[in-house]
Amino acid sequence: MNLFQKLGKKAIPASFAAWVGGMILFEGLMPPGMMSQERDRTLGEIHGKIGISGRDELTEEIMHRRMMKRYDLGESPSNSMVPAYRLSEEAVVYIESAGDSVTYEPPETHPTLNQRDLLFRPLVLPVLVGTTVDFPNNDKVFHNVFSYSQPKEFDLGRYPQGRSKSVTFDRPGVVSVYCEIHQYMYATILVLENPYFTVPDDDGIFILRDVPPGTYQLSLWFGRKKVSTKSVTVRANEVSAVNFSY
Amino acid sequence: MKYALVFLCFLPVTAGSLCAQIEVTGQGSAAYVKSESGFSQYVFDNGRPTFTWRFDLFADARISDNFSILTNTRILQDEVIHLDYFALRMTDITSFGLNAQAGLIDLPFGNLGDRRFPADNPFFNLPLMNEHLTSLCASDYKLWVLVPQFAIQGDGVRLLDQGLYDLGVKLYGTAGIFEYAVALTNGMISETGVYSAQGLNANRGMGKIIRLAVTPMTGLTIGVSYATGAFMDDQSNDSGSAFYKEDPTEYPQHIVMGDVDFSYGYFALYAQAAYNRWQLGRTGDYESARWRLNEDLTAFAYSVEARYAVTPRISIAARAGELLFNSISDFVPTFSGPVYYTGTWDHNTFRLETGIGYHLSREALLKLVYEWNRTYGMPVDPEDDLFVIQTVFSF
Repeated sequence: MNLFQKLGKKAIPASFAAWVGGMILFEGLMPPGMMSQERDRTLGEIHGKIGISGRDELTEEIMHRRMMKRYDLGESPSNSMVPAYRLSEEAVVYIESAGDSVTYEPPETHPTLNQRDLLFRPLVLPVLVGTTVDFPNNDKVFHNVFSYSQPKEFDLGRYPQGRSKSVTFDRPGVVSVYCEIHQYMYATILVLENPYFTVPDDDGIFILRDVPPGTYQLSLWFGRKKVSTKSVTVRANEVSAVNFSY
Repeated sequence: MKYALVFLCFLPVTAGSLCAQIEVTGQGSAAYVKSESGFSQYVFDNGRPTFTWRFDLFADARISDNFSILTNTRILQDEVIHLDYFALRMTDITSFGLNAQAGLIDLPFGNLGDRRFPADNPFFNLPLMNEHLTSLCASDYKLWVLVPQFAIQGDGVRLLDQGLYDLGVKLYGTAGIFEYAVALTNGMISETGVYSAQGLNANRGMGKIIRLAVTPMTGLTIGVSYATGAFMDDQSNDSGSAFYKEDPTEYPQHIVMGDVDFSYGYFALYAQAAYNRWQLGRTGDYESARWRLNEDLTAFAYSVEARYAVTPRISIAARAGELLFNSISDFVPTFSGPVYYTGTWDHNTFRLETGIGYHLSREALLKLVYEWNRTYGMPVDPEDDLFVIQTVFSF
């Protein structure tokens, strides 16, 4: 009995057949020591899973303040169903330092920090130093994005829906981003010295590819702060496994 | 106040899992104030250089997705604790997004909003129309025109109450680009029922407020508000009053205000203009009527405020406001008996405020404010300009 018969379907005669293309994606982690696909054999990978058991207090605080806005001039206090942040929007895994002498070219594409539903999305945005970030306004009301953080002070002023402004982050560090009008709006831009960072999927699985061999400090940023750092050794053409729990 | 705190403390216990979140935020501010020392109501602490402080505590309890309790507590350097705001708020009570507040509510009049608090107010005082104490007393209806050379005469009602809170109920919401609100309150906008010694509803009648606003484009909101109701309290019916044996509710206040908010880029403009009438004119034959005005008292007021963010941390602001009162020519009830008086019933006043703000951090703001006050119709304009250095911390 073939597959079609098992499923109760009729087999299609060959004369009516057509090409069927596609891809099968297997989710999950590769066993340590097994590279995910053909890559530079001089580099390694870090695979892992993030387990978050503690309360996401920052997300709760932001969502709560958003709802409790009290002097609503022109903005309804209505609690429209706005989804809370997903794990992929509030967690970042990154290597602290990958060597002092190496400089990396920032990407030409601009990552975005969206203003949508009176929130910043994502909550945490990792970028390589020198990267330009776009700040599009997708809300019907004004926002006024600003930061007083040392790596980059800026104030984008007020601009309407459909418009975007950009900022280049040329010094590494943590940049706290706020909206001058909606004081609960908050996001972090992690300006990193190397490109070895990634965000997990919503199940917490992350893969950090093309990492040069060496021993590193691998950190997890969650919400408002760095919550864990672990030492990891990467070997050429191998996968190293690191799991985080918080 | 203490009942409110007890209530908030017990909420998590009594409501159990329903009461998931109580959030406390606030603002603390300390200021150095030096005013001139003329004979004026705008003089601060007799013109002595003075430090002062203020603390605003905002405690909100979210009972469910649509039900919450909002409170403001204001504590001043005189150690008086004011519970300004204690509203039960229900949102989305109909399919078209109607919201409601009941209790000690935020009055839907004008566009002051968060600018009533130090962190969002680039100046030290509120707009002139919220500050100036007129010479019209709501408690016993006597005009202080006996000593017209002094601007300090006013200790009567304001055009608009400072805090813009009162006991009552309000329905409000948005419909597309429109925003609407109606409210029913114990007091009137120039004499709210909050701090009266005559009972919760000292003037018997109810204040009625309606507000409509439209936002035709992002950054521009145009609103109009109207309020009417009795402003004199029952004390004005005492035997010593010109309104003895009369119903104070027959002498209402009517006030209409237009307001505009505009902002774009680093610039913001807030403007409001109000025309106010305290209806006092004799309307019939009253047996007990003694000396009393034969005409109404009116006032026109405006305030225009502009702000500009010069750098991410530095902003500058200026505000101009004026109060213009109508002239009367009549026998006027005063504390020493009726006198014949001709002229404006209060001094026309102009105020110009400038401020520069520097954000030490997102939570800390340092402000320098200078306020010019000009009072007209007096032999000599009293010296009552004001200089303030204020720091505000928000949390």
